[in-house]
Amino acid sequence: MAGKTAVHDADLLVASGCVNKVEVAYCFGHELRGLSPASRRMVESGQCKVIAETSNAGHQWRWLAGMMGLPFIPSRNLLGTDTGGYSSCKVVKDPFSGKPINLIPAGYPDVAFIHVHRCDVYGNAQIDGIMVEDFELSRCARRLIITTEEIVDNEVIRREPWKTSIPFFVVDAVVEVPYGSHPCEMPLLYWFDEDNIAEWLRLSRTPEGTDEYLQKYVFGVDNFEDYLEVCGGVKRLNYLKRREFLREPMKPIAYK
Amino acid sequence: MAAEAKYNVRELLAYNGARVLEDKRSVFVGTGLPMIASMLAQRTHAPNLFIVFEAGSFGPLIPELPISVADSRTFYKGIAATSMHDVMAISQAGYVDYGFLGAAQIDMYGNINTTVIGDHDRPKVRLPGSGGANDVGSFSQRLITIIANQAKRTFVNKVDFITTPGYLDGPGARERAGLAKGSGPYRVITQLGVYGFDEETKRLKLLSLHPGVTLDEVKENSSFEIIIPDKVGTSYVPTEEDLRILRQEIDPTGMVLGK
Repeated sequence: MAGKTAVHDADLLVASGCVNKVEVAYCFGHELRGLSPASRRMVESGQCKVIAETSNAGHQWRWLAGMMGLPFIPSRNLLGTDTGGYSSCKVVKDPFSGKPINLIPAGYPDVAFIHVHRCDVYGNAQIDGIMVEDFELSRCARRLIITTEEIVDNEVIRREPWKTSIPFFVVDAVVEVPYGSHPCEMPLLYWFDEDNIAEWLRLSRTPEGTDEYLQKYVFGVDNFEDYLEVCGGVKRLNYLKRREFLREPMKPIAYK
Repeated sequence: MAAEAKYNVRELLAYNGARVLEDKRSVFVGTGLPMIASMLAQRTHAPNLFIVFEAGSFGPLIPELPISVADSRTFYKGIAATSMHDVMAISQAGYVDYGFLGAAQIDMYGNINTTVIGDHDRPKVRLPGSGGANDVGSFSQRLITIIANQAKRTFVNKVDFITTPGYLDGPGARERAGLAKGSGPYRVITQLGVYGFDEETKRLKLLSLHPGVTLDEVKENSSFEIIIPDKVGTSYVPTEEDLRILRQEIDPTGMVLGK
């Protein structure tokens, strides 16, 4: 797994034993909420191996080289550090200046999943707000599965083609999943479900708690709509919409 | 500490972090206290502080504490919502004045560890890794680092893992490694004081003590020798208004400042 800006998604996969090797830029943490107890346990006990380190730009530019069909991209990060030493990069002499320059090898993930605001049945996709890595990742992945808040008519895409960030020809499958980012945020639609993430962080302090969460929210439901019901249904989702638009205040949450 | 401490340590850290930032300058902000410090600066002495977030945000007016460097609060009323490639490329080209990070361990040259405590392949504590930190430390003209708990185990002779480059092993090392000339660590802020770096040796140097902190405390809480100049100042102390903004506007639930 590419652990790039990887937070809840990666934590669930690592904790549930689906991942045994990670190339890490950011992983095993939940930013302001603290470290991931379950992922830490898997790494510290050797069940999940960190096979390489890199940085966010380091990962980002693996995708950039990949989408450009180039073997590598030169960069001026990772130099002089253990992050660089444990990465898949090589430092060479720049043939023009004679100075050291870092080379980041291209990355081609076997499969990438990207959740978008809307796309048509062909996979022409629009993303609102910041893009993070989706532009480059969509173009370098060997297989790309788009999940979308809604499927729109092709005419919607053609009316404003400058809004297309992912074109159909790099897309392998489209799945319509409203609220598909839950319990994480979908910018300009709904906020993080902090109660759910906090429940995960509390439960995943033990292997038994990890199983309890997975049983409740993954194995114990038949489909994604049932999952949303277990999470609090329409009432909860409406709250998350109001939170996204700052119409509900922050509230104290116990992450430990 | 002073007889009547009207602020806690984290509020003091955030405030001193904010005071390093200047109006009409740009800062690449990491998660945690750097976010709080940058928000405070923007709401007080630096209304035109240009904030940059790695996930793809230029120039937001942050409305409430973001929980992630990628959430929608990070591009609220920004001048552009763009991509990580764009932000990192612009930073690498030298556009960003300040970088602002938190850290777990630091050495006398300002090298930072946020990857692992103990051996890399058999970690005692696995931390999240670089994230954007190595990039911020490589690209920023002036790197500011906050370490909330200065102690012998966090101010170390050799960090367990150099996640993010400081001055590496001394003067000229960054340039020899291929990093941009003139870039590097600028300030380190802890619960005891504010530090800079000696121009000749590139070693950590005390600039100011927080009110009530003694020189002995600074020395006792470091594994390496900190340069102590003849003149050491006293750190800034937040006003009632600064504290009101921190507590009521920026972190009303005490998620970061209440820790």
